[in-house]
Amino acid sequence: MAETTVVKPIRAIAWPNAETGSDWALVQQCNTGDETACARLVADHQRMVYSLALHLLGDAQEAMDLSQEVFLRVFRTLSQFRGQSSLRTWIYRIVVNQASNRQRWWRRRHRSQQIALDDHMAHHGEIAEWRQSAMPDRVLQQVETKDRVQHALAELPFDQRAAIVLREIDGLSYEEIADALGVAVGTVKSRLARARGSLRVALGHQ
Amino acid sequence: MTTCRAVRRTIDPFVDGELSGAQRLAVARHLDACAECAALVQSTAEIGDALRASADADRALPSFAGMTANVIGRTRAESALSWRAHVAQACDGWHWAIVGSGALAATFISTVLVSAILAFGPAPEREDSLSALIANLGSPPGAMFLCGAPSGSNQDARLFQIDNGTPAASRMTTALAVNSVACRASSEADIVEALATAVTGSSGHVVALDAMHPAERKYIETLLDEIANRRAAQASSATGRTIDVHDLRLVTGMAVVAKAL
Repeated sequence: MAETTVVKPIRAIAWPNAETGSDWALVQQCNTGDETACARLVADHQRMVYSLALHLLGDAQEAMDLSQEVFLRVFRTLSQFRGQSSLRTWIYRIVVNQASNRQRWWRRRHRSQQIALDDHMAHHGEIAEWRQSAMPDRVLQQVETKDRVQHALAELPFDQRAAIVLREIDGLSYEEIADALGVAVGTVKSRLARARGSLRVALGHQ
Repeated sequence: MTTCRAVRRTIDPFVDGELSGAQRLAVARHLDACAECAALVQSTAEIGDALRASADADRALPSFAGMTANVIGRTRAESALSWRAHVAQACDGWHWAIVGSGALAATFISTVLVSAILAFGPAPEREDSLSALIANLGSPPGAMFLCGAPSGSNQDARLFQIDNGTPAASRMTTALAVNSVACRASSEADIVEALATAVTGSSGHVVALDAMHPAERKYIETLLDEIANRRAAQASSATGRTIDVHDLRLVTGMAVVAKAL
């Protein structure tokens, strides 16, 4: 009989404003122009925003730029927040939309400048070559696994990548993902299934 | 008994903890008995583990120092922008949509304007229209004709065109003079008969002058003049008085309505 116990780590979800107990109060304060409240909103959510942006874009500098754009967008449109979803989900939605726009723009502008990895390696040699000589086996394996995962993640279509990141890394429920992506729960399920199918093949988990 | 096919459709929600208690129990029971499905569950869970491990490896977060101040500073600057800058900013991401909408609107307006011009614009002008009448009234008065005979002579009355007080020959005068000469060769009865023939159509009805060709109208006017002249001549011989000028008439582009004699 197969061992079927699946131990799923549950990520602690830090609820912003747990002390005051209300996103709505913070939003109202921000809408009145209270800069202290605005600063608190940024401080409470900046890690979450950056982390999601990093996993969607795969580039730390881009993720940092995007995070600033996201907060600017948040403050521009905060008066439209009606509390129908949590503030966190609402901000997630902005991150996903901004990342999607940025990736589309990037793809349009720089498609002609893209260089195939094989071509790059032909000219500059193996990218990870230096690591093999400098790292212990265990660390090297971890780094390689991480690279493989990130490469497989980057290969996914944006919609699937957003769904799987929100589920597996940010720990959102299907309903929250649907809110954040602006799609139906059924669509979330199908995107997750396709994303997992692709990752299973890419990572060799048959 | 839950089948493998049914279970595989719920593996993702099972791993994600999105199944209800009863569904979760049914799947768990199947997994206890089916190694293949259990392996699939394990594989799905490992994918999540790999993603989280990869994310944890990226935990070296950058410094967020300055982000809050930067964001708040830019937000403050934006709120201080004029309404024009707000509009320009709003239009920035939509410029192609605006250009497209503008082109579409221009096409629509042009189509509507052309249709309106075709439907309600000025039609080709008719001679008897009010605008034609007004145009005629506003035009030069036309040619002045004088019907008379040299004073003290026995000559019949003739028709002259007056141009600044000086008789001037013209194509029209010549045509009328020919008619006048033709009239002089006939008796008044012949002229009246010719007039009756001229104003009577093929169906036997009197034709309105408006409906006649301009040349026919002029011919009829000449006949009327001739009849008037002859009667005037008779009157002058009866009274012994000389009539030099019988009448003056102004010929314009306006319709001429016959008067009963």
